[in-house]
Order: sequence, then C-alpha cells, then structure tokens
Amino acid sequence: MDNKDVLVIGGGISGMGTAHLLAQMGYQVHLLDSAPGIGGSFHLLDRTFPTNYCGICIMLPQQPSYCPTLEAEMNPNIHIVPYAELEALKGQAGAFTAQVLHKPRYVNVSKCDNCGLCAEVCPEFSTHQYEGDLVSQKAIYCPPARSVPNAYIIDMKTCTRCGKCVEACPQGAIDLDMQPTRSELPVGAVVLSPGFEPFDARRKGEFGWGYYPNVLTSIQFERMASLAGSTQARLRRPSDGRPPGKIAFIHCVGSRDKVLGNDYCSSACCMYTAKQITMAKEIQPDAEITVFTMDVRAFGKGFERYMDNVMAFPGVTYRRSMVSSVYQYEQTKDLYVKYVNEQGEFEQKDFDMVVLAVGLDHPAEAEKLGAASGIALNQWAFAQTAPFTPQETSRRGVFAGGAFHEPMDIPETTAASAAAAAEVARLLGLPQRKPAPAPATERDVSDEQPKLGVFVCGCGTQIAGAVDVEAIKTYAQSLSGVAYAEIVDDACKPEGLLALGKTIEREGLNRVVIAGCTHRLYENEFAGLMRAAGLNPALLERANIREGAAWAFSGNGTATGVAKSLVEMAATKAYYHQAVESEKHQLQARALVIGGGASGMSAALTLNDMGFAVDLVEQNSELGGNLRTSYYTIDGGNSQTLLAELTEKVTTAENINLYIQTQVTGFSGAVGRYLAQLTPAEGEPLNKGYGAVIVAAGAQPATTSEYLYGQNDRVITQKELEKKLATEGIEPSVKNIVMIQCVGSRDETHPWCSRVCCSHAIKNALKLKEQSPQTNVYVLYREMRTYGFMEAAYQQARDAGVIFLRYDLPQKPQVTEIGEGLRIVTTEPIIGGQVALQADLLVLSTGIEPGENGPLAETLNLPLDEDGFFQEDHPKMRPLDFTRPGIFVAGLAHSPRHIYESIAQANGAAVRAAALLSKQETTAKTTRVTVNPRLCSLCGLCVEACPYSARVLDYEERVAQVLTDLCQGCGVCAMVCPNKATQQHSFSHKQMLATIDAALG
Amino acid sequence: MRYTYYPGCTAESTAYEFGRSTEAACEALDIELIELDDWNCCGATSAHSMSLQLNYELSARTVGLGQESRLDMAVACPGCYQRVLNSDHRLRTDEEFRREMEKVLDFQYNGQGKIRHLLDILTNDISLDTVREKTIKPLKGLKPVVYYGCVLVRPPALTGWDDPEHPVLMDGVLKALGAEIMPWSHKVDCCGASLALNRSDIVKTLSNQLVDDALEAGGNCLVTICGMCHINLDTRQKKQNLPIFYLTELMGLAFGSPVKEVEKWMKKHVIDGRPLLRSLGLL
Repeated sequence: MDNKDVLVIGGGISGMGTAHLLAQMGYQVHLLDSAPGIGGSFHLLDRTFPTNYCGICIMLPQQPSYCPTLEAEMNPNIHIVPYAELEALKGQAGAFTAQVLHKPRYVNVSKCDNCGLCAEVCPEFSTHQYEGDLVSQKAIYCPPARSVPNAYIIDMKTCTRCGKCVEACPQGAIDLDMQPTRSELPVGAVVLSPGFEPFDARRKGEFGWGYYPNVLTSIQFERMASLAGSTQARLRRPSDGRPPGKIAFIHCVGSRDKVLGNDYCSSACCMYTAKQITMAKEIQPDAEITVFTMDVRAFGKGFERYMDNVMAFPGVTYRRSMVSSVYQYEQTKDLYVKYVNEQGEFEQKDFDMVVLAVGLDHPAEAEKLGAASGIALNQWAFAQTAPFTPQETSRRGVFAGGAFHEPMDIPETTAASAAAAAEVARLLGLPQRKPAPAPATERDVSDEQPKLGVFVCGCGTQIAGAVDVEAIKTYAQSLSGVAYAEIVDDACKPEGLLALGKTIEREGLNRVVIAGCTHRLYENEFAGLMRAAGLNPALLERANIREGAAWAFSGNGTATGVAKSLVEMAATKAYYHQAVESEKHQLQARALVIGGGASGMSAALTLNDMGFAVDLVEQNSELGGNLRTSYYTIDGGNSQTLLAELTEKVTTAENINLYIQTQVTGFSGAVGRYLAQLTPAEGEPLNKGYGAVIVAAGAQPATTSEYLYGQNDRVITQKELEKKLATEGIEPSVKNIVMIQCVGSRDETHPWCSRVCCSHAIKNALKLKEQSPQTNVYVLYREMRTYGFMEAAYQQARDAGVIFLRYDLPQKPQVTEIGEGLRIVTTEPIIGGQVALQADLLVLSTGIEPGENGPLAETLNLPLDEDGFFQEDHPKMRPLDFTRPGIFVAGLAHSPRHIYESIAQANGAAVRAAALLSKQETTAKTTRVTVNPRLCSLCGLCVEACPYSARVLDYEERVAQVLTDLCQGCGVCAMVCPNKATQQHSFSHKQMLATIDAALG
Repeated sequence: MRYTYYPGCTAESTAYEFGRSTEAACEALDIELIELDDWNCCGATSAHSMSLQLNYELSARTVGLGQESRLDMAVACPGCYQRVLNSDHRLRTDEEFRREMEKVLDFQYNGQGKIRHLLDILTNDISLDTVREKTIKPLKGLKPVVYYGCVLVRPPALTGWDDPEHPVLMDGVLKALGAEIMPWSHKVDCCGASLALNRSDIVKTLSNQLVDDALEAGGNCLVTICGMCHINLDTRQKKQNLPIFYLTELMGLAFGSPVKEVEKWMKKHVIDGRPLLRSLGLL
C-alpha cells in the first residue's frame, strides 16, 4: 500500500491508544476529534474500578509516560486535528482522501496563551458541560484542563458578539469572524473510534432529570465526587447544598430498554455504580445507599470480588427492582421512589439524592460519521462488524476501535484500540523507518570547569506577570558557576530555541539551566537544543518557576522569592551534571507465541502479516485449544470454520514456525533479547532468541461433580449440548430441558464470573427452540449477564418462550433421579416458594477455570492472580501487558472471555509486540542507575525495592547488578542503598545533597 | 377558526359542566365548533376492555362522521381523543384495517382533517397571546397544580405531546389566564380511572395521594381536563377539601362568562370551589 498515513477519528482512550501505537511503529497519524480537544470521556472520570484510581498515564506502550493527551501532543508522528469532522472519504484502502471540515473555534490556538482575560470580561454565561452542567461558565471558556490543545474557545450559541474579549486579548488571538475551513488528507487507512455518548437522561422523563434538582446523572455524580470537580469531592445537593444522607442509584437508565430502542446492555454501568458507591462512602461514610437493579453484571476480571465487597459495605442495599418513577416533594426538594419489592409489594422510599446510572449510547455523530466514511451501522447505530472480525467494518481499510463496535469498558477498549492498530498495520505494512540521524558530535565537558548559562523565560505574561524576572536574572548571575544569565521570552518557540542555541555556543557554556515551565513540557525540544549546541542533553536542568512559583503564589514578592530558590537549586544541581551515554541493545526481530488456540493463532497470524518471524508453540498435538469444542456463536458465527481457516493459515504462513507438542522449559534475558528453551515431547530441546513474547496459554472448562454430573447420562454440560445441537440434534423424546447457570462459577471454589456461560445458555436455548419449538426450556440463573448486544438475544429467548427462573446461591437447585427422568426443585424468590421441574435433560453451564499455569508462570517469571489466571500489569489500563516488558497476554490465559474478545486481545498483543520488534534496538533510560561494585555489600535491599525486577544479585561478580533494559530510572534502589553504592544518573548523592542545601539556603 | 366537535358521552352526563364550559370558552375565543351529527361512544372503558374490534369500529365511525367537512376535529375528553386518534392513525397507516373498517362502516376514508386535542388547538392555532388578550378576569391568586392524567399524553409516539412525562401545554394556558402554577411531580400519574367501578379502594388510595401531593406542592386547587379524573379526585377526598376545576371552567370564568353560568357549572362539583374563587374576588 502506497500511503501509510492513518486517520484516527476520535481522541478518547481508544483513539489515543491506536494513535500512539501506530506512531510508535513510525506511521504518521492524524488524530481528529469533533470536540475542541482530544481526551474523550475518560477525563470525566475521577478514578476507575477495580483499582480505584485513574491510572490513564500507564496505558501507553512506552513507559514511563505522562497523560496520553499530553503524549499525543508531544509525539512528532501524531498530528492532532481538533474541532473537526470527517465530511467524506473518497478512494479506497491504501489510497483514501479524507475531506475534513474544521469548525471555527474563534480563537487562534497558536496565539492563545490561556491567560483568561477574555473570560474575565465576557458578560455571558452558559452551563459547564464538562461538569455535567452543574456549574456555569462564560461564553468564551477553556475546555477541561487536561484537554489538548489547551486554548480558549467561544460557544457561539451563548456569545452575543459584544467584542469585549477581542479588546481584552493581549495576543490578538480572538477572531469573531472565523469561518469553517476544509482540507483534504490523503491517508491509507482510517480508524473510527468516536466512542459513545452518555445516554440523555431527558429521554427518561419519569426520573425527572432536568426537572428535579437533586436527580443527577452518574456523570454529574462522578464530577461531584471528584477532587478535580466543581465541589472538590464534596457531595452536595444542588437544591440546597446539603450533604445527601440517603442516595439512590438507578441502574439501566437508557440500557436494556426496548421502548427507547436501546435494548442492549451498556456493560459498564453496574461496575461504575459500585465504584461511585465506594467514592460516596469514602466521602460520606454514613451515607445510606440503595441501588435499584435488574441484574448485577460484574462479569469482568476481578469484578465479582469488587462487587461482593461493595455489596457488603454497611448502609449499602441492592434492591432487585426497577423504579417506574421518581417524585419530588416540592417544599424540601427531597425525592421519593415507588417500586415493587422482591416480595411483590409496593414500597415507597425517600431519598435526598437520586443518581441515574446512564448507559452508553451510540456516539452523537454516528450516523453522520457512518455516512461520511461509507460504512454500515447496526440497528443501534454502532459500527456493523462480523462475528470474528470485531474491528473490520463493511468498508475495506476502515476499522472500528473501542466502544464504536459495542458498548464496552476500558480494558476491552484498550485491547480493541490496539487491535485496530493491528488491522491497519496488516493492511498497510510497516512504514519505512527513517534512518536515525547521525548522532551529533557531543563535546566532552568532563574535564571542563562548570560554566553555567541560566535562561529565565517570562512565558509571555505567565511568569513575568507574577515574578520579577529581572531580579531572577541578577540573582542567577551571583550563583556559583554561572557564567551567563539572560531573560528570554517564549523559549519554547522555534525562533526562541534557535537564539538559545546560538548563545550557548557563543558563550561556550557547558551546563544549561532553563527557568520557565514544567520539565514535562518541551522535553524533546530542549534535548534537541542541547544536541544542536554540541552538548549532552543530561547537562540541561529545568527550574519550574511557572507552575511552581508564578502560578502558585502571588503578591508581596513571594513568587519571586520562591523562583529564586528554585533557580538556585537547579543551578546547583546542574553544576554537578555529567554527560550520560545512551545505551542501546540490538533486538531480536522474532516473537514467541505460547499457545495455539484462537488467541495464539490470531496473534501469530497478525505478526506474520506484518512481516515478523513468529514461533508458535502448542503443547498439545493439535492446534485449536477451546475453539475445537465450539461450534457456533450467539451472533451466528461458525467456530469450526474459523478453526479450519486459522489452522490452515497458520500452517502455511510464510513467517510462522510451528512447534507442536512442545513446551517452554527455560527462559532468560531481557526485553528485546529474551532466550527461551523449547522442549518437544520427543527430541532435543532447542534454544532460541526472541524480541517479544505473547502468552496465549488458554484455560479449561471447569469440571464439576454437582447435580449428578457423571452419574446420570441425562446430565450434560453446555458444551456437550452445543456439540449435540450442531451435529446429530436432540432426540425427539426430549421434551423438557433445564439449564443451571453458574456451575463452577461465582461460588466458594470458583470466586469469579466465567463471563460467557449466560450467553452460551441463551444461544443453545435459541438453537433448541429453532430446532424444535415445542421443547420446553427452563434456565435457572442467578443473574443473566448478557452484556453488550448479546442482551438482544436474551430478549429473543424470552420471546421464544424460554422460561427464566432465578435462584440464590444459598439455595442451589436440588436434582434427583425419578424414573426415566430428573426432578429439579428450585426456590424461586419472586413467588417466594419452590418450583419443581421435570427434565429429560439437565444442562450445566460449567464455567471456565485456569489451566495448569503454574509451571509456565514460573519459567517465564510471571505472576498469576489469586484464581490462577495470568496477572496482567494493570487490570484497567494495561490489560495486555505484564510488568516484565516485552511480554504480553491474550485470551483465556488472562481471564474468561468470548472468542471475538480473545481475537481482539490477541491482535492487540500482537501489535504491541510488533511495535517493539519494529524498533530494531532498545534504548536504556538516561536516568538509569549504576553501581559502584566496591561499595556494594550484596545486602539485596535494592532487589526488594525495585518494582521492575531490574536489580539482581550477582554472586560471581559480588555485586547487585542493574539490568539496564529493565531499569526505568525511578531511583527507588538508590534511595534504599545503605552504602550509596547505587547512584542514579543526574540524581547523584552529592548532587542531591548540594541541591537540598541550596533549597534550605 | 372552525372545527368539527366531538364532545363525547361524559360531556353530556357526568361531566356536563366540562362540556358546557368547553363550548363557552371556545365561543369566547371565536372558535366555531360544529358538533358531529349523530355521534356515538368513542369505545373507551367498557368497549375496548371487552372487544378491541368494537372499540375500533366505534371510533372509526367517529372519524368518518367528521371527515366530510374536511375540517380538523376538536376533542376535549382525553379518553375520546386517544381512542379516535388511535383509529385515525390506523386508518392512515394500516391498509388492511382501513379496508375492513370501510366495509363494516360503509364509508370511504379520505384522510382529511386531523384529530386535535383542545389544548393543542389553544396553543398552536389560537396562540397563548390571544388567550391572554381575551382574559378579562385574570385568575390572580389561584395557585393550581396542573393535572393532565395518564391518558391524554399517551402513547407519546401517537400523541406527539411536547414532553410526555412533563407536559406543559395546560400550564401555558393557565399562565395566560393569570394563574400562578405550582410545580409538582404528578402531572401524568394515574387517578385510578375506571377502577372506580370494581376496585374503588385503589382509586381512593391513588386519588387521595394526588390530592395530598397537590397540597404538599402548595396548590390551592387542582386543574384537570378529564371527566374521569375529575370524578375520582372530586368525590374520593377524605377531608382535604381541595377544589378540582376543569380548565375550561376557569377559561370561561377568565373570559367573562356570566357568573350565573359559571356557578351553574361549579355547583355540580362535590368539593365546592366557589368559596375559594370568591375569597380571591373572582366570583
């Protein structure tokens, strides 16, 4: 394919994830967002479940990193196109022309420096959408703090064009006559990740949102409970500012609602409600919380435990009942709801606040976007995709990322966004890497006396407005080692950088201090400046006198005093700076995939299609894993066809070496150059090197001896039924079939939800009804967890006459043999009594349990979770990664999941591996640590402290070695080293003590 | 403005004052109502509970009676409105249904003229400005809660009502008449409706709840536009003594209908609203 540029539409978690991965592989990515800045929905969230913190910063492929929005702005391969829409997509895969409409912002982004004078003079108010309309803002406003680009924008619906802001703007950035413009982007592929729209609660008028002040959406509640929100994590009733003592949460607002046409499950609301309850209880421990729910759908990894924990909080009650209306007392603005309780009686309960758990609706611009990009949408206006290709839309070269395929939670979104990047790479092939620029010759300054230059940046008025920069300059000149000081303005701009470089050379400086903004900004630019001036970038120090002084203090010279202190510390530290050589390692451009099931084969094929050599290891004699016993999917996919296709492709693929009946028995090395020992069942072990590894070791069906399984041949598992239905069919004598859910899931021995069993029961029940409509099918369930679009099949099953009876864990159904058949007695909570069913066939929905992962985990030195599945680095933001870099996880080895989810995860893991392998070499961090072997006493404290397993005891050399590939430069080991044998580059002991002295002044 | 007019049976019997005040209010607004000739029951309540077919035939006949004039049909009773609207919708959209009805009722459906509720006509054809202009006795001091009942707005897909859970059309008219609307949550709740006949206990509970809620909201009266609601709310009160008015009665009052006439309407209520109106100087 000729054009390797990529257009990614939507800059939320998904779009940013795709963009970062593609950028890492060298693609030029245009990241377009219809909002004024990228970021999407995630920055509305105060924190995420099940970790209870934000953690967005760790989602990026390269660690450590800042917030992905900021990283996107800094990435030279990502070109942000804010406030724009796709109007048409012409051409074909590999040679598209995207017609883009740029909406007028009325503020020139490159001129705006966020001083805010415009908003001060603006007389018009509207509500602040970002804060869920809970607070007001001006017609000219700055989008949320973390949005990129960070510049003001005018809401023309509110603006009266009075022109006061134009007069007030010192930069002349405001243009009220700005017109929409259009441009054309030639791209090879397009990824659509417009995300979702929170359901508009106005459409459920009976809950009174927009009419009753104390009815909030979950978004509003999230902002209220957020420390960064308008109330700074204080729960306050909008009507009177009083803390709410009794709070109700109502589930499924805009989800599972046939009347509205939203007859799907939004997948995330049950869990985010549980998270919001945790937040509410932290803020207000005595809050009484009632949740009105249909089913509690905690189907993700670790969710069952999280939910159990929340349900056990004192003062938290879950009521299995839907609320028909919310009413308001007009005098107090208190609320009351009426509902039917589990005993079938009407109840009425008063609340101080009601929170509506709004669902994930299709993106607002879905239909427009679908038409513009020429793809088909499904009945819910999400992207139409096929059962086993969740990222492929109806148009070749246009892919769906994130929740545009189906409402989903963040881990699935992260995997799907990577999978979309994988599809792009498979289609376009990898871009030619630009040859690395010849390293500029760096002057060796180790023998020179420190000769410091201090550049004090006024940052427009941002610093100069609060700090006396002249005084800072004078003060800097008085500091030891300082040979030169100067006031500069806008050091970050290209012309500013050029001037700085010239000064450094002219004055013969060998250490540089830039006093200006935070070191997080313009890192690459300033490193480039140093190199251009012939200096090692480690000889630069930054003093943050903007955020640290000018913005934090005002008046009475405090800011200037603090800034002086900061500059003195920076100059002292810079005085001791030494050059740090960058350490590089050659990389093995081959991947190892462990496991030959759906995930392993998909991952191997994706890598193969991108041109990477792959070794695929399967311990059994045949490929396929659990796919071998799957016949059809709930959405009509044929699993056996998929199995045949994958097996055929894997066996004939050019770049894949198959190792059947082979196990990984040894493993060592570091990212980019792992060494694995592969031992076949017969024959000699083999040692091979790998740049990256994908663990797709699968899992196994849970076994059971409950409910007469193994004793009576009328008792079979759901998988056995599926095989029967797909092959010979059910015997005509079978008239009554009972299914029992959660066998081997969600109990004492298996405290997790197996995620797939509910929809497996539904798909088999539907197949039964299709083959013989007269057969009675009863499903005994605890909670139907048909999330996403599978909910529609649940409804279909009910319509087809399948009877669903709920049971609770303490009262499991009782099964006895009677004559030729079986008798099942279950306690039905709604009628409050026992129901006896006669069955010709009893089908057990046995769950999924981890395989024998212990030996493999030990060999690879990877952690398992408490249930025995492989433990990823972070359940939310890094679902594909292990803490050990260069090793990825996919499929059932991670946790129970559907085939299409495994495929997305496998493709995601493959592209993560590909991004690594395409680099050819790995570079060690410049802030890494070194060890003085003479001082090291082998005490091992550093080994314990290191979060990255980068420190190991070497008994031969008698020193605690540093694995430089693994070292992330965090400095924790340097802190704990009692002998100061460990020293961190740019943070040496001597340097830090001197800096502290300077601070204490 | 000319409309055909379908009063419905309650307007001639239990809600006699509703029918007469509707006619008086319309006259004041220069709305000419041409009463359908030989009209029949709309098919609500007993008919559609026993036989949907009968219900459709009855209301389709009503549609047929009005269509010759090609005028829109004005309906004030929510039950009649919903039934006739429903039939008209099916006649318009369901070919088979239309053929069947045309055969049974021996007429040709021409699709001319829409089925319109009085509130829709007041707001969209007459305009609230006109209502305001015609008001010679503003309802100052009257603090009604506005009660639409459960039938009028539903199903929203058919009625196309402004906001099916929080309708505002009647609020608008009352405001134009000079009343001070008391907001409340129960605009479209159910009063118990025809359960009055077989489960009066339910009606008693629901209606009294509504009356209590009206008082809690600070209302000094409740305004409805449904004969069924009026009966339930007016006759089932424990001791709250909350006057229940028809919107049209208050329109007549505000537009200057003779006091004697207004008294004649209001005398029919179980809870006498006249002392309240007198205390406000409106009677």
